[in-house]
Amino acid sequence: MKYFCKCILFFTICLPLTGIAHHSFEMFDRGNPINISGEVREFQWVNPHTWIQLLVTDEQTGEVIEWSIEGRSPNVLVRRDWTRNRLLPGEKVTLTIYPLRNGDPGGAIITVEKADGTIINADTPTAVDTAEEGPR
Amino acid sequence: MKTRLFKKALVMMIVMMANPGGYSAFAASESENLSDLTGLWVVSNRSLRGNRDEDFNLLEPGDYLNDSGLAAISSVRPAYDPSAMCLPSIPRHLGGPYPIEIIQNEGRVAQLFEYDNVFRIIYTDGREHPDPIEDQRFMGHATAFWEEDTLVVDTQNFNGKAWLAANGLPVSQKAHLTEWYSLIEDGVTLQLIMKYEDEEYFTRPIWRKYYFNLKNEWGIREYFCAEGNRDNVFNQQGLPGSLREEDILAE
Repeated sequence: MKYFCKCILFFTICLPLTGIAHHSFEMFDRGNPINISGEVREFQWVNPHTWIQLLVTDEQTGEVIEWSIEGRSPNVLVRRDWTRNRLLPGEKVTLTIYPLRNGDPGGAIITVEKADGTIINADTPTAVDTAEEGPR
Repeated sequence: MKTRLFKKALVMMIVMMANPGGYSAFAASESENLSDLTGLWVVSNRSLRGNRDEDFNLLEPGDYLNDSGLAAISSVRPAYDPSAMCLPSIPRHLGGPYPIEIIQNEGRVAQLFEYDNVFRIIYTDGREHPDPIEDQRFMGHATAFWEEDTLVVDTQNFNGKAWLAANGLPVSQKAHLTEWYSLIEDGVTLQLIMKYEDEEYFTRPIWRKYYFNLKNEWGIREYFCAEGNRDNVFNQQGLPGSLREEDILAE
């Protein structure tokens, strides 16, 4: 389970999101966002979703666990001033994510806090500001 | 001027005499000049998504689904979602977060979807839908005519393999979509009203109203879903996807 996230696949009807994504986001626990800090192993700039592979060290055991964090497609992010080099391997970041409901090390990204304190809105469908006019 | 009008009238008479049903084709091609939907359009947050009644009030599934439809959404398996397998569908692709380029030519309106890089040709030349049994498609077959400055699109011939949304409700072979496209707000907004009917799963039509913003300064980008799709078992990296084996294997 090192390089990927598995998803428990309980679906419910999800009207607000059904038309806006490659797949449903019901596998993510949108009621309980969490923060995780670690080192970027890879930022995958690919469709249909970008992925941040984040190495997170367990403070108690010292074990390094790789998290797979799903983001919006490059097509959406590039129009939000992201580029394929926005996150680089080795960078230390703190991510706010909606975790997978099944407890596996994965989730949907909400924001990225870089080492200098800069916070980037990742514009996940689960974090949409619906009052904002524009494409989703 | 009189000569041109006379020629038009003469051509129209000849068309009508040769094929009484052909008048609509002639009229459609003439009236295309009255409206031009050409441009790069991006769906707006103002859109009235979801399944609604004719007054665009949101409906509950029990309000519009029959027993088959309710059964379909009660046991959804994401692995079977055509979208998660990078397959397109209408009307789902109309509401994606990616721009749609509309190009109009004589007898045709083309929609170029950034979403999955697929296209849709809407015929305005008066042709009929093909045989619904012999010719079935993920995105259906679309014909249209102009009703003043509104493009009225009729789509049938669905193949039954696509879903209406991620909730597992199929777009059956009996599905019928009607769309009304019109420019509003000085031409910078495209309004799309949709009426969706499917006697296989629905007890009544559902409606949606989408708004699209004109974004001609943008351009269609590549979007090849298979590049990094983890929703299939086998992705580009040769690593397992996010779905479990039992979601891929047939029951």
